[in-house]
Amino acid sequence: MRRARYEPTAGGGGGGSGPLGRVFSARQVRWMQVDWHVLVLALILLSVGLVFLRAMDEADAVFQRSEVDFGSHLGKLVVAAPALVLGLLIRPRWLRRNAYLLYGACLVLLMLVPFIGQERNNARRWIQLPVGFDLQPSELAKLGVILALARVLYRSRLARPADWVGPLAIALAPMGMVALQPDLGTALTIAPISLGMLWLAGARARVLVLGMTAGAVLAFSAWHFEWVKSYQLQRVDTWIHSWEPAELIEGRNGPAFHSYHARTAIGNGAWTGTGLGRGVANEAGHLPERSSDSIFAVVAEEGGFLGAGGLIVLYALLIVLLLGSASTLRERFSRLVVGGVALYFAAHFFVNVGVNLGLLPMTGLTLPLLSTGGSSLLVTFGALGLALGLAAHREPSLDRDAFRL
Amino acid sequence: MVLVVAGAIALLVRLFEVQVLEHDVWANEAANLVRTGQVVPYRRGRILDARGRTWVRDEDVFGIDFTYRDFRRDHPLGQVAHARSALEMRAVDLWEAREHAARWVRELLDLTPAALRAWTRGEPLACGDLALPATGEPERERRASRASDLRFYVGRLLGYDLRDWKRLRTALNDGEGARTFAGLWADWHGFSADDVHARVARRVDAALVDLEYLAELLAEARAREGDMPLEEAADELLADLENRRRRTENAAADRLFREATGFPPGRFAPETLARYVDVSPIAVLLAWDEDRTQGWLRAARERWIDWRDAWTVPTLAAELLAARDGSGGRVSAELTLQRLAATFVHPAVAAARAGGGPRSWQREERWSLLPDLEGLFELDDYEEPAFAAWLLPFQDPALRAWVPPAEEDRAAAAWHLLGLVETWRPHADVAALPPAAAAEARRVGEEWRDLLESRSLRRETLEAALRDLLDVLEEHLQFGLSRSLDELAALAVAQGEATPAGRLRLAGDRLDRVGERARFVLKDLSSRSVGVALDPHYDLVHLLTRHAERFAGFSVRESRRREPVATHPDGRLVAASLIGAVRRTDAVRLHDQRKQADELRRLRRKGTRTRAEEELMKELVREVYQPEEVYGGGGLEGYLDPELRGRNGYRERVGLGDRRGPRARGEWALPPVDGDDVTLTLDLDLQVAAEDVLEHPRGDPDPAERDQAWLDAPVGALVLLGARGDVLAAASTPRAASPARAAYAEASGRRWRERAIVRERTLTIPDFQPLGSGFKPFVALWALDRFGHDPHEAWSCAPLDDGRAGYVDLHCWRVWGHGDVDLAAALRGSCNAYFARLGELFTDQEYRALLAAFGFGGPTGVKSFGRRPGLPENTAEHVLERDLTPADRRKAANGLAVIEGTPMQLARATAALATGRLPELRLVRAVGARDVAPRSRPLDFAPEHLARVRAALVAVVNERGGTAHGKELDEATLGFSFAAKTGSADLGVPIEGVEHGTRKHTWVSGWFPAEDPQAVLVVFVYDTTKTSSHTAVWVAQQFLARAEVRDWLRRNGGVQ
Repeated sequence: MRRARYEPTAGGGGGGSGPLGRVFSARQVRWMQVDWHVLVLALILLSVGLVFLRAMDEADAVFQRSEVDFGSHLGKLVVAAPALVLGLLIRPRWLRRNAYLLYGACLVLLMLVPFIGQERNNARRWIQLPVGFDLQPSELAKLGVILALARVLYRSRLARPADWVGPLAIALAPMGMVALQPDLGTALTIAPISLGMLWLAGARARVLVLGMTAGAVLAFSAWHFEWVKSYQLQRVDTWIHSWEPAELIEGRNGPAFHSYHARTAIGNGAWTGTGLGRGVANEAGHLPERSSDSIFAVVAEEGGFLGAGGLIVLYALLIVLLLGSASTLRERFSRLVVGGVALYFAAHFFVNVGVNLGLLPMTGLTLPLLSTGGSSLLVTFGALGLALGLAAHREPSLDRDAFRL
Repeated sequence: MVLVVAGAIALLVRLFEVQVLEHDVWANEAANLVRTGQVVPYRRGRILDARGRTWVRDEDVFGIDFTYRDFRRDHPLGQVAHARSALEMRAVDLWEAREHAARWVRELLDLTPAALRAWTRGEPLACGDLALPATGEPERERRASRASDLRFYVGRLLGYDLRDWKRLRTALNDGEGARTFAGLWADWHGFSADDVHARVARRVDAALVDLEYLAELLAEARAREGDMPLEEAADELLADLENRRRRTENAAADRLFREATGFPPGRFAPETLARYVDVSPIAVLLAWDEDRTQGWLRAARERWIDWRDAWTVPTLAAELLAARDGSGGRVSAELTLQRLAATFVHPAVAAARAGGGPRSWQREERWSLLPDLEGLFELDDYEEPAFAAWLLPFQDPALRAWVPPAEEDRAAAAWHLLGLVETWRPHADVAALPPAAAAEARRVGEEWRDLLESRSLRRETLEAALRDLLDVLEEHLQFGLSRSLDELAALAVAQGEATPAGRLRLAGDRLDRVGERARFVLKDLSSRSVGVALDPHYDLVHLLTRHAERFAGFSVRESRRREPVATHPDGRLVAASLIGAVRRTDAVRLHDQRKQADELRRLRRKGTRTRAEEELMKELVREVYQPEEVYGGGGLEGYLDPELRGRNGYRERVGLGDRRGPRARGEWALPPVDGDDVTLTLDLDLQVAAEDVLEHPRGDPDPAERDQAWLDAPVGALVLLGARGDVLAAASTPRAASPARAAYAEASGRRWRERAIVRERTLTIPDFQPLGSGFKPFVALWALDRFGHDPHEAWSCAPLDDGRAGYVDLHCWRVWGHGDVDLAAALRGSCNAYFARLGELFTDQEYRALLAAFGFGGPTGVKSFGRRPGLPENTAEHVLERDLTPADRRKAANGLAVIEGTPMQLARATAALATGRLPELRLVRAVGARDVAPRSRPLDFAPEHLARVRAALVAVVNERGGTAHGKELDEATLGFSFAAKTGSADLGVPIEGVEHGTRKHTWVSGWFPAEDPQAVLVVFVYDTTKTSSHTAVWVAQQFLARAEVRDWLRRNGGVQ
């Protein structure tokens, strides 16, 4: 029997007038309910990133390099910051109604990449924008997947096998398109976000375990039977053979170049670190992508175990707070979106730090809030805004289903 | 939440493991990334003369270095050339940049940041006349990176500081990027754009003028080194800089290619690579066009072939020759095949087996190049190309399993196999070769056997044969590789993976790696300084130190040079062949020390070292030759190298490796230990006098008695000893090759060629060097002392049947004879007949005992530091090895045929005769503060017998009938008395146009003052037509009359 749909009106303050008012609303936000802890934590992490990026910029000036541009990062921050506000003000109902549309827009952008995207380092991932940075649609796609999954899971309880078709299609479509760019790392980050959201939405644990097992078998087969590109295989091989320091050092001039320099920088930090801007990563300048994918290595080197450990604790706390925030929401869609955002941060955090520490094969993934990268900042701010805003909006919900945390 | 917390804990645990538990390992690696170590060279010891005057020393000089990276970044010409290269995507050379500098600079300054940015997105760009078209693949053209380079060079041309760079970013963000670079800079600094153009143009012009001036000064400096004329100095300098740039870029391309493929580009024929492999990604990184890329491939191949010929072939030849010498003159064919095959084994296998020697080639599985092709290209799965297994004969299964014919024994079969390898053709069945081919293979094998077992095999011959064989094998390899790549290229075309030109694309991951490394490789290679001049004029040093900013790329460094201080007016070192020279450490020495060098490199890389490792490192730092280090290459420099050589120090800075880096943090220093000074016994004044006399002999005053040919090209030696055996002067001539002597070098006949050969003749016997009558005093002394010869008994020197005076079969030098002569008269007149008769009384043993008593046939003692390379000395130990016939005995007493010696040996024996003690000759008086004590032993002869012989030698000079009488050697002329014996040893070579005339070596050996011997003189004239009285005697006279001799004698109390 079709359940009666409860669509709250603009009661309790209303949603403003005009088309914009249907999308954004400041009055609907219960400002006292905004999770300021999350915001403060995010700002702390952002500040940490700024401090280290500034130090990198200064080191570059000293050593006559121009790889890290702090000013440019600030510019991107300025461009991306409105996304936080927009995310905060967006109305959950509009978002829920238009989730598929946004998801579709992301897919369209992904589809456009092969035609209008720019190729760098043998990968075509970027679309040029006139706003100071180039857009990486695969980053946006993660947010699109979160919204679309939340939308489909808003209705579906995953009770029947047919209920799985929609969520899986939503997750796999962008994964496949991103993997073709090729950007297997980003594609694979969508997997934990999707799986996490399915679990948050009530999927049975044994089904998920079965799915993950199948995924693991698939991944192993892909590696074993060489179904993926040779450089991807090599990354796995390099990872397998670079666990021990001696092996990694042995391969430092080959494919393990990036891992070697990341591990060297981290290991050089010891307890208290080398001091801001005084790490070997900044001085020698060999560590690739030190302002984006490898920023954790720089923090670990210059901040030491205490600094990097503190960062891990703060980040974990941010994720826990976001999940906690989600758990307090009664409205299922908002709850899933906020949970998805938490999973987005968690996936990036664990993959990025895991890669730098050698726990995972090398792949390029930013550490949100700390790394440079316009698309990453835009999506991070947007996601954070959504998480904060959805949790503080007044639109009531009658949803009561279980939410496991 | 639980999972998040668990994950965070897992990360913290891993972080703890890496940061805390493994910290030492990674701190070590980190330190290595920012560690700079420098070997601090020692100062080589000085060589001093007996009076402490410097003969040779290490002198601090300035050297001029050139660093291409600094030139490229900071010199306007480098900036323009590289900016234009980045723009045009071709290597714009420095000449072209100089020619168009003014226009190109203007065009660069008129570019706009916005236009550059648009260009990176694929839009067209106009720069003066140059129009760069739009492209849909800006990334493939590396436009972003090239634009970044262009901004950098434009910024440098304008003199951007950090603030300007930030302003540029701001301007771009504020939408001001449409203004020209010149316009923007003008606004920031309050100028007009025209002013900016004018300022930059003036700066570029000034830099070009400065460069021309620098070129002239450098040309002068090089002209002083003798390798460059002054003309066209600027062009020469640009050519030099351009060559260095090409070499640097070639080396970078080599490294990147190797990074991508695992082997050097020269391993392939350039046309093969150019045809089948797309190397454009590397060319793009270096902004090369097609021509430049082809040039690099050709140069890489030439370098590889040169390396093979200069390293592999000589090493192979040396190994085979060493094996032959160590196994009774035989080399096995198996060894030859193994060594040959080892040169084609994969480097990884060879490295893993380093020190273990090659294994049997039939069991070898991994060969060069082929394994590297796997996964090299952007291709889906493919079967191994058909040709891949058949590149070399060593891989041919039929050859590996070849069974020799039954009639061949094992050795013959192995040579046969070697012949099969050389005559191998791909896919020819070696088991069923046509008879002609089989015979050919057997014949080639036998040729190899004959060659390698030949006793007269010369290294050059063997190297040439090996080179030919390696050429044949290389041809097979290249043929096979070409066919394999042809197959792969066809496959790539079928799979749509080939370039439009049908070339194989290198795999993407490999190109990623190349892209990552390119910047570091270029920085590393172009940051290396190379010397362009040593000891330039101080104007140049002043210019480069006081106005460094005007000469970017050039810098002054302190260096050291072995400086000859004691020189003749023409600049040549005094006693050059005796002192010797230093040489740069050669490849052989470096190779010999490779294990120590590897260990030192390993230790230098270690961030933290144990105490034992630190001690070992110090030891190795001091032992291992540095590439710039010199060593004694010959003469005393070589012989005393262990004493003169010091020990290197080491300075290590743990900080930033970048030369410009200001953040050094610590220093670890091991001070160098300078070499010891060596004080010789040689007196510089006497040595100069001796060389001058030998170089410019006046000869007999009577022109009819002169040997003018010898005087024109004198060959000989002069030795002056102190009475205790100190070598005061040791001169030999010729002492330098000269154009005038070149004709002798070309002439046939050894004695003529000898006139062009520079060697230390005081200590050596180039060929046959009998002592002649100089030996008679020793014979006389022995006869008197050992078998009681009656000195008063007179023997006749009368004509023989042929009318010429002599005894039995030995003629006297005086055609009509001496009549009846006793011992004193025979010595005074040097009567051959008398001594021939006396010689008959000697047994072989007595001759040998006589030689031993006076040190003939043995070392003189100048090599008191033992058997070392450098100082040559012939001991002539073969003298009297065989049993003597009566004729030999007659000749031996006259110092002919069977008696040979060096001037130094004769001088030592003469000193014994004069003083009664046989000295060990001393060439080194002290090493550092340690004196080298003189040594001698008394002669076992009765004093009265010694006195009798000495008196006879006084008479030789001072009494009528003496062979040196009337030759201005008397006390009245010289100021001191002189006793001597002359000697003329016939060589059995007739003199054209002179009846009974034979060519001869002539000698004078004597001492002065006669009554109180202070010094001993020996003069040796090599190969003359006149007797000693007309040749050697006059050389002796010319020397003894020199003021330097009188001065020396006065200082030593020998004359008032």
